[in-house]
Amino acid sequence: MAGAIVVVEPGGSRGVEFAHAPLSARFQRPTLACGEVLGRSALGQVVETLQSAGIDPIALVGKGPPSPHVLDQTHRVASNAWSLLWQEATEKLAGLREQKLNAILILSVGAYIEFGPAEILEFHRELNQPVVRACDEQGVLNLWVIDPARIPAHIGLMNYLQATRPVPYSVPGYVNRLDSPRDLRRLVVDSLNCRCNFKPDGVEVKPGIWMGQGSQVERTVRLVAPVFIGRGAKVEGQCLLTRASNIESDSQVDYGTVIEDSSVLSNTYVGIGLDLSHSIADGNHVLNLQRGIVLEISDPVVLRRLETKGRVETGRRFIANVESGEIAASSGQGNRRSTDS
Amino acid sequence: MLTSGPVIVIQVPEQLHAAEVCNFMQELGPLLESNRPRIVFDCSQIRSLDSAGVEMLLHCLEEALKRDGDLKLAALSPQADVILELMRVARVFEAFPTSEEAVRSFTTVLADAVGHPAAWHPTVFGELGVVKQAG
Repeated sequence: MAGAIVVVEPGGSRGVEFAHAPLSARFQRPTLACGEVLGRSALGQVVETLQSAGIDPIALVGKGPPSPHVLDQTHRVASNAWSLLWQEATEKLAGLREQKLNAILILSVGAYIEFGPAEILEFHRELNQPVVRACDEQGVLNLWVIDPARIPAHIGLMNYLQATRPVPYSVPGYVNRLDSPRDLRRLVVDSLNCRCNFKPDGVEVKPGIWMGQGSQVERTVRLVAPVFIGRGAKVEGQCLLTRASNIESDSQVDYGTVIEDSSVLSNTYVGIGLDLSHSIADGNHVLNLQRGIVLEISDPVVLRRLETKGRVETGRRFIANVESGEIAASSGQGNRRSTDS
Repeated sequence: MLTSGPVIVIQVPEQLHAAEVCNFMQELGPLLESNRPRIVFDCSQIRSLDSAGVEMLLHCLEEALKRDGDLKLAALSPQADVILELMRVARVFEAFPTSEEAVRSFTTVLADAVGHPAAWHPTVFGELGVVKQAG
């Protein structure tokens, strides 16, 4: 019998090490794992994996960033947020202890990790060690298995994880640390090219062309696979979408624009006759991945944030529902939509 | 007879939005109406550029070409470069890493065309926001 604590950190996958980073660097951007990619969030995918492996209960800690928008830099998390987050995790652990679980998976969501919960739990059981920590060829990951019975009652969870020498468990599956928007783009490319199990939320209308519920594409649009058009997104005539580009939910690409090797995140308007290449557009921000610069576009005819159509983003709703104890129902609703296209 | 004035290097303001474009165009008007205007826009200080700014650049290029002249861009900041690419006009302009190289490109073309180095003349555009004059 195993449970899990999922910690949604503001600092990506760097977790424990991240705690020692300068404050300015530590809290400069929201967690990418909560943002919508291919119609779903990495966080949602991780929780689905746990649920399908029969992990129960799953406690979620941290509300995630107030803005799911990746390039929106206006939000700053309070400097004590990180320690508060792990304090909350310690409290959740105390609650789970009373349920006499054999093992608890601790996941600090930031990275997207494809792993088999059953395999890592089995590894932990066989070795009979207090802590097992997942790793890949690039180093350790913020995924642990602990034996709740061996943790002293007075010690904080993070202090315990830092103080105890873990046994490494090599994750055999796909790992994307999601440390930067560049990693987000890599997740899209890998997913659309079937290099991982992160599946787009939509219907594959032609090989490599995925469309979400209610998406609209004009007849004259040229789609060169693989591409993804999220639910409620609209692509106007004469556009060209190519090289694993993704248009996230409720976004709009206006007439004649070329989107190449780029991501248009949710609720973003991309103007007429533009050429968006090797970039991530998010509201009125555009990140050029080749040059590594973020631009704020003040001109609403070029790029702007669109109003949400009375819909809350997947990641955010997911977290809100988890907090109110509706984890199973909400994750299914938020991440397993049928399409009518 | 083939005649031409000096290459005029103009510093483009830091912000190039609708408001700045009007002032800039007022200063630039006489220069664009001259015979064979040869202009280099030094874009090193551009930090913000919107569609009005891009329209202005295209208008200047058009006017210069109409009078058998040319407009070249120099020292584009990465930000300006990304915006020009995004708005699909980067390929329309000849761009150079520095103003000196942009100026040199005019003299090279002219020297090739007439077989002797270009003559430099005093400019009447000294008061028009011209920061450098090659020659």
